[in-house]
Amino acid sequence: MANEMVVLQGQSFSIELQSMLGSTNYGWTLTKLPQGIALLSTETAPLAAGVAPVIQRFWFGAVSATEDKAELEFTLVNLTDMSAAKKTHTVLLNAIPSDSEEFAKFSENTNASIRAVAGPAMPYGLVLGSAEAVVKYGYPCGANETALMKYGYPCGANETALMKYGYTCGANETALMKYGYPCSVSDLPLMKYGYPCGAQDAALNREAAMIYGFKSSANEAALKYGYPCGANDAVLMKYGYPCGAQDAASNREAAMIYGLKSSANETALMKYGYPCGVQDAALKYGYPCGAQDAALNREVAMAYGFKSCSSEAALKYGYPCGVQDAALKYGYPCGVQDAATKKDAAIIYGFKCDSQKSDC
Amino acid sequence: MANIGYQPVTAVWEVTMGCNFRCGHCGSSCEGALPGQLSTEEALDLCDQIADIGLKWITLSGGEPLTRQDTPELVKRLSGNGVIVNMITNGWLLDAKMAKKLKENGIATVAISIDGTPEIHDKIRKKGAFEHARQAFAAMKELGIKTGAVTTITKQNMDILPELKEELIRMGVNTWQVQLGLPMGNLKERPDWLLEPRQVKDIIDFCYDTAKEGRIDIYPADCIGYYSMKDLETRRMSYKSNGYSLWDGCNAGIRGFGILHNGDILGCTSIRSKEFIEGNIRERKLREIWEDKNAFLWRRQMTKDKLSGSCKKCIYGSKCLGGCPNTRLTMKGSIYEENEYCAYNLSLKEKETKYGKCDSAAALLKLAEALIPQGNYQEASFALKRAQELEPNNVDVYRAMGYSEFMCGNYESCLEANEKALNINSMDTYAMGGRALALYRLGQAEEGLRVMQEAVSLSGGQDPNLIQDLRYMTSDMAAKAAYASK
Repeated sequence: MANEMVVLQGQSFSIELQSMLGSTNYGWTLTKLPQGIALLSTETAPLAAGVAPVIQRFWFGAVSATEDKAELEFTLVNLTDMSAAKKTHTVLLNAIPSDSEEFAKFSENTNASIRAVAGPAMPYGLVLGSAEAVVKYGYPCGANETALMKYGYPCGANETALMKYGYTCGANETALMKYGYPCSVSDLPLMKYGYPCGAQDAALNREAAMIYGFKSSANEAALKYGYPCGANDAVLMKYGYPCGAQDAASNREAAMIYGLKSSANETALMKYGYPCGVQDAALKYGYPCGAQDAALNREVAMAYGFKSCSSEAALKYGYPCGVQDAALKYGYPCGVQDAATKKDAAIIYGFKCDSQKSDC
Repeated sequence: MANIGYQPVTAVWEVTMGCNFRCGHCGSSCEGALPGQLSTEEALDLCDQIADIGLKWITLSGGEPLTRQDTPELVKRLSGNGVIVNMITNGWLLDAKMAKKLKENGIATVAISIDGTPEIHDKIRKKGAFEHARQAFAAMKELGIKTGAVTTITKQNMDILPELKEELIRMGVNTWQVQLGLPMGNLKERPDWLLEPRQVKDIIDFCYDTAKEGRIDIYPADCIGYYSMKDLETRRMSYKSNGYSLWDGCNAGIRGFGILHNGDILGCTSIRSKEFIEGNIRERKLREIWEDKNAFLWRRQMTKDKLSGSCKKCIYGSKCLGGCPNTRLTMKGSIYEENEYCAYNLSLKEKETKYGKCDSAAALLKLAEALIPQGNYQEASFALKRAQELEPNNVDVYRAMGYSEFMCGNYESCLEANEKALNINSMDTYAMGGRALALYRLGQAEEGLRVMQEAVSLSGGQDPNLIQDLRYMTSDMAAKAAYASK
């Protein structure tokens, strides 16, 4: 299936896809990004409390004009088994050059807003005062003109103009970008700490309202860092690893800490947001972790993204490591460090960094 | 019956029509003082009334205000009453002695009309005028009086604004107001001096660049705008503000008024024909005139729907009300005409032309759907208008058009688009809801409510937006009824 979009250069746009990420762990991943389009942010919003479908929202910026029908491709995968793609969704995109002058955003229906998470893209009507979000980004939303602190900068009427993420604060009506996505007028659908303000307002039971991602009545996580966490679920994601596992663990020694079992690193399920199957060639730090873990022979093991044999080094922590002495390790030339260390005994960050050629 | 809904804060007072210059662009065609000019006693009494009504500041102009001997006395009375007094003069009579007198009498800012570099200024105004102005600026600077320059832009000086800026900075002028030369008075006889509408953008660009330099505070007058970010940013920088102040319609009769040499009170001294004169202080007190519920109606009862052309359909229409009414009056013959000198209007015409050339309804619809979430409702409307021409039976076009027109405040157009969508699909509850809200906004509340209830019912009560719209309508109607009963 494919959709088509036309966006203006210099402006941002979002694509929303529904998945069961958070319960079945099936989620949409961005698998193709055309030149000229930047991924600004992603966020996940539950459709309802508890185990429910979620809306995965991908925010993009049209940095430059694209060719006609450039492709954005999303793939639905189970994040514990990324080799099995279930479905793809393609958005054909045409980012057209911006030739318009900038004018202040205004509509006499400025209170019009999306009231329902799954509502239409073009909502009529006005928001009743009682239904407005109470807090937006830590300051009262719907009351921009009275905001005292915004993004940590004072924006009082008498303050000198400050810059807020590249544009003047205090200029709410004309703000173009807020946290990397457009928030030109206060009535646009607002996101609060990674979930829609409206979700909070829609809560029938204030006791169950989500405050800063937590239910007010209990310290159970309702939303944590963009991942939905049902009150008693054991299968949801927290900090990129199954939070239920940790919470439910009877034995803290065996609990999952940052995606690794504290007692058994080699059986890591999730490591820093990357799934690592037990024996699979899943990704860890951008390189196959299974290979490393399973390696009995250091000569063939993959160490932090490169083989100990320098000729096969490709990427190490995101830095190219083509040649031994010019290579970067942890952001600094590994050759320098290596030279300062006793070569045949040096183990740096868990792997041999010296004598790589002789290892081959 | 008194109308106390408006509080004036400023006024322009043409203390005399007498002038020692015969400027080629003078909007008032001033020469000698006209009969009926207020006496000193009358003028001083008016100074007291001005303070009584609560004015914060006033600008004395003319004619040439300094040709009136008692002008310094008026300054003294006004400032003594706590009113901030500014003056616009040609500077000819403003020597060191006069500057000292004005300073002693409490003048705040003195602006001199400067229309070009020395050669051009003298050509437009009077030989030696620029040198007199230069000396006047020097005298005021010596005394610490805040100085300003006012430039009326025509084709005579449009191209030398950068050089003029340097002259003003060299003379140490603090502020610079630029305004359009409009076809009134002497300039009406010189149509070849008038700027083309598109040149407004060049003026805004110039103001913006000048403001960014920060060497002189530049203020585009009320006739220049509207809503372009460069214009807003210019004003923000010059007013040393941390936020943008959107043009909120002409001040005339709302926050300010004009006083003619003979005591006539009107909304703006530039809109001075008889039908715009609200009263005379020789007949009624200033407060009585200001608070007269029948005064200033041309402005106080101005609404978007009374405008014409692009202004009638403009998204800013209800806020802007067409920009400067004098621009429309002098350029087009009526205060209700379209403002062709509006930067936003110019931009709209470009877009209309651009979309008029597009021949793909599908692409236009997609573009509109991208523009709407970004708040570019008006541009979306243009794209949809063209899409409608190309595919007159596309229900999606009408649905989007209904929404974008609603957000532009064009409820008639919103109603029309939704009714066309319903003609194609009578069960379209989204279009039905849009139609209901349009009816509601057009004053047909009961009918709007009925249609919305029908839409909610047809959707099986499953559409939260329709339900919320219905809630809004019923609660709003109840609130209005409660207010009316009080």
